[in-house]
Amino acid sequence: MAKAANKLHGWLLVLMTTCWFTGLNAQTGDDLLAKTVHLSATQGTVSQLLGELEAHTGCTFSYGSHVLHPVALVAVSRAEQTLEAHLHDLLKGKPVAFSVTGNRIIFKRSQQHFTISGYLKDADSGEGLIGATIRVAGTAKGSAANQYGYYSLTLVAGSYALEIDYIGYSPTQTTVELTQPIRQDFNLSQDSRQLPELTVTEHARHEALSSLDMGATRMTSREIKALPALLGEPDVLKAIQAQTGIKTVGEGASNFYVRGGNLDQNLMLLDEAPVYNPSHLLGFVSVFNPDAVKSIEAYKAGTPSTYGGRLSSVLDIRMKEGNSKRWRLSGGISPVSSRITVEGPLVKDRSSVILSGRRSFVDLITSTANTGQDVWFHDLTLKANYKLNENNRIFASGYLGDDKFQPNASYAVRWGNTTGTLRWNHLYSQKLFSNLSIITSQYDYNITVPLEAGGDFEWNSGISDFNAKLDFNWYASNNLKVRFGANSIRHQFNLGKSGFLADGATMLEHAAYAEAEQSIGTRLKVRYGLRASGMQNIGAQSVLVLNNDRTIADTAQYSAGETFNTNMGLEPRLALRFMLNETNSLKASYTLNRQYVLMISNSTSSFTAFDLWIPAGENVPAQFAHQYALGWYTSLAKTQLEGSAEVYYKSLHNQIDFVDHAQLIDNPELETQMRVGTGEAYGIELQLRKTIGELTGTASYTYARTFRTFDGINNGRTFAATYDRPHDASLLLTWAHCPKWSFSGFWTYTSGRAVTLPVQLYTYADLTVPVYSERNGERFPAYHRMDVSATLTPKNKKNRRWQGSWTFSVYNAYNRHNTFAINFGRAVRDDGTITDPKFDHVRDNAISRTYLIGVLPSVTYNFKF
Amino acid sequence: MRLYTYSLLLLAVILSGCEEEIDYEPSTQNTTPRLVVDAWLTDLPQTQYIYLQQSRSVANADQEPEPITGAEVSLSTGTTEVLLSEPEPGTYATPNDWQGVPGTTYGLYIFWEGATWTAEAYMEPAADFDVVELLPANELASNPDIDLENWWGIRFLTNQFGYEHPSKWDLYRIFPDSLIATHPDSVQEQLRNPQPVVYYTHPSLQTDGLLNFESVDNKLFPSGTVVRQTRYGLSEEHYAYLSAVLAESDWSGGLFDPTPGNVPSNVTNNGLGWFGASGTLTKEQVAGQ
Repeated sequence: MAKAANKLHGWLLVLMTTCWFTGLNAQTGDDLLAKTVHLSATQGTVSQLLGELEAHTGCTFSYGSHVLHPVALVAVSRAEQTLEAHLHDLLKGKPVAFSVTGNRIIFKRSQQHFTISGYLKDADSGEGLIGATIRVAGTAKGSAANQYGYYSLTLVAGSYALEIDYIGYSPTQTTVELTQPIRQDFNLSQDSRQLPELTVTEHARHEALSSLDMGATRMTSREIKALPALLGEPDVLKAIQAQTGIKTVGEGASNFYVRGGNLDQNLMLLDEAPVYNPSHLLGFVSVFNPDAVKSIEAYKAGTPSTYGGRLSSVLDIRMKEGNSKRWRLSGGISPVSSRITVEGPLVKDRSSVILSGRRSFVDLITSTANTGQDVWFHDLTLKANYKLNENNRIFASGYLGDDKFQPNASYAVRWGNTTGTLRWNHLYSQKLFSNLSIITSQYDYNITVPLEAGGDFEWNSGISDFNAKLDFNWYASNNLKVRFGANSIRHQFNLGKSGFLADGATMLEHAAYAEAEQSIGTRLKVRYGLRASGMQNIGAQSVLVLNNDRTIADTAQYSAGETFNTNMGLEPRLALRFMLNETNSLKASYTLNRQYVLMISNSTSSFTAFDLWIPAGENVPAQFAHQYALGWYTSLAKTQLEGSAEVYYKSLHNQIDFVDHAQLIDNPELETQMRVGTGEAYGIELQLRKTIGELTGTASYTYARTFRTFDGINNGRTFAATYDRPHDASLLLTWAHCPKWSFSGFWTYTSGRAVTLPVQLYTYADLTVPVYSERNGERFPAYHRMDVSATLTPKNKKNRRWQGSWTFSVYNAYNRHNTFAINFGRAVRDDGTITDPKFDHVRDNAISRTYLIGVLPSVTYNFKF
Repeated sequence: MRLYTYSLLLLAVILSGCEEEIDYEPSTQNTTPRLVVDAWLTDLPQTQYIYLQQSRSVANADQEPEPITGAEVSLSTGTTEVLLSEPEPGTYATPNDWQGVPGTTYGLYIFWEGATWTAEAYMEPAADFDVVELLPANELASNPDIDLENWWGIRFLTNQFGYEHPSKWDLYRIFPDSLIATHPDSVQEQLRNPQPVVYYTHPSLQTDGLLNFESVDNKLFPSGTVVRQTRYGLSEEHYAYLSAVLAESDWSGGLFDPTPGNVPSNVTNNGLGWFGASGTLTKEQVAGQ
């Protein structure tokens, strides 16, 4: 014990002595620095000027060449000033500090940090560039612009060469002297000579390797327009469907399945507002106007904690903000529709607006032809923003879409989405960015059938949301970024005029999240987050009380405003990236997602028409899914190729399905026909991309399976989901040999979807009735097709503002008859054509297939003014 | 004009698509034939027929159903029982004096090749109804080349919704003799033996069949034509069977097909088909009166 006390005393003595000498030295140092020195020259090398200072003051300088290079040229502001002033001049703009010990002055790397922040923008329009990167040249230090184009980069004080990159834009370099906090915006110019894929810098290519994102896709409107399109109509969702792991519902459809999830498990956001039905013209055209879209981010794994509410994917679509520098007019005309967009500054460089609209042609033709048909769609997109000051900016955006599908006088279907978003960006500091959003979304659906007895049979359904959302981005350091926030949504469901749940239902959905993105060393980067979410059903509501076999035991009544069936859960998210070397990285992710809003549909075909959104509740439990993913990414600089391989496993819980021939519409006991079960999905996705050069493209292959198990369906046996399509391969090539012409080709192959087909038939009342053995036990023939397109962009005359381009495309170029449906009991005429069994025919009970689209050429004209 | 033509083509592609005959062989080979009952008793004063057949492999889709012959078939009410004769192979007939009674539950008993199948059906009475409205032809069609005076028509659809009870309907038009005499021979036979228009009314919207619903009766007929309308009452189970059959046959192949599934059956011993019974109500009206 005494020995330990002596040791402590010894240490205290050493410490006190050190402090005394330090104080003494500081006193001496002040005197030294106050000495006035007259230099013979105000410029010279580091060693020259420091040598002269040593000679005049008698001090000695101590430094390494990595701190101050001896032959670097430096300057002082005045020949005669104090030693301290000379040193400040010499070290200006350099990340170097000094300390004085006796007569010795030691130079060390400065640890003072400053932040440079601002917006990365399009030079032509002034719009923020989501995901654009800014980094210190030759290093991995950098930052990516957030959803509003804002970046924040904190560095040790010094002089830096910064590189700013964005795909499709010419990269730019600039030098900054970071000796104090800087607010600076940077503008990037589009590379108009080339297609977007061609302007990819090494850093941009490196991004795929070094980012934490797995299964993520980023696209711009420009990239979408470069792809071959059905009927020449550039389409956001069709472009997304060409990505690995995303499977289309069927020919021409807008909806899609992601990694074994259902249609309703994809969160589609338009400026943060959910879009509940993405289809125009039954899905042939999506509701997202490519002229009004700025960027698309799709996540199918490793979803950031900011997103929630769906099990399988997030599609975050951001609208253009409008050109803040000059007024522009653009548009296009295709065989389906025409579109026009006008945008410009309300107050130059401070406020802008964009208005974009589309209208289909089909109704103009049908009304002229007096066919009794009435099929049309139109939509309108509006967005405006105003920069209040450097720290505050507000945005208002909205979408209004409407569809009518009336193929004959016997019925009509109408549906439409309406969204609105108000946002307030606020900078608390250079490092703390916030956004407050007030979001509304409404989806309405109506069927009208004229009745013989007079009047119409009408059925209405829909969902409307009101959402308040607050998000923060905290750029703690270059190695640590933190995001946190919360939101609360009020869902109001319209379940049909006499549907179950007493015509309507109300649900509150809440979430709060925090997430950190951290670099640990140079190789490892981690994103870890936690999202807590929950829901509450709100009365007035009448709810069936079901027995275990889902027969009705009773009915529970809840009064207006009464809260019942609260359900909460945590959603941990984890993503890891480990750089094996400069050209290879490994990534892994785990995601738990929860979903409280569900869609039920009676259709297995491509078209979404009779879909009904319902809340989770006492008889329909909230869904959740775990997903584990592992990926390898590589960049082969010599061959200009990028490759990736991802494997995943997903387990889905509380999935819903229906007993055979369930009546979904106008059924007050619908829940008795639902079944709750589980699902699983797994697969491997391989992709090879070439992003530089005249010839660019993507080749991909996916092997994936997905299964479902329900008590009471398929005798409780596990069966393949209808979108279980094991093999999926595609090839996309783009060739831009000259500025005038560019060519694209797309080929896709997918295993036929799993379907329930009969093994036997029998005849009842002259109708041929199928007998099935296994749900989804058979498959349609494989789906494949090739699309090609050529774009002609005539050279513009000088000073002519009008720019136009022609796109010639052929969909399904080799006229593959891809099976849409297989029909039994059809009648055949002499000429081999199929007829309805009720009408003239020469032979009954043939088996036929329906296919939707053969070879289909089209021409589209796009213009910009 | 070229754009119009193209867009019409587009519309045709979108709305109707194309259908072609194919060969199809299921991967699952489960083709053991099963007994199928096609029986729909009514209270109409006429012989009632029950059709028995075997199901067939889908690979033999275009073959005629194989009738079940030599079966012992009887109907019972719990207190009475009648044995059916087999006037044609696979067709079993009630005695001439047999007539169904609405509100009665009937039992079907089939014995064939050592096995037994049974089924039960409640004869649902037909509710009263208002006859379809006969409209002057010029309200339904306009053709300046044809004089439509004294011609009539009916505006209705094959499938109608929002009715309290589901029903099956027959609708006959019995043409006046004067019309038959003045028509060419080829048409006279059709007019003498008019086929009924068969249609259903539904309590709720049948979305899967929606695209197949169409206006079927826009034929016009002259004054003096007798329009006979018969309503068949359907039990809840019978209607569920019929709507499932329609979903799997007439209504299939459309743009909004539901997940396919086996139609129910009330025949025991793994039998197929349905044993149904309907009370009927018939009303007649004469065009122009």
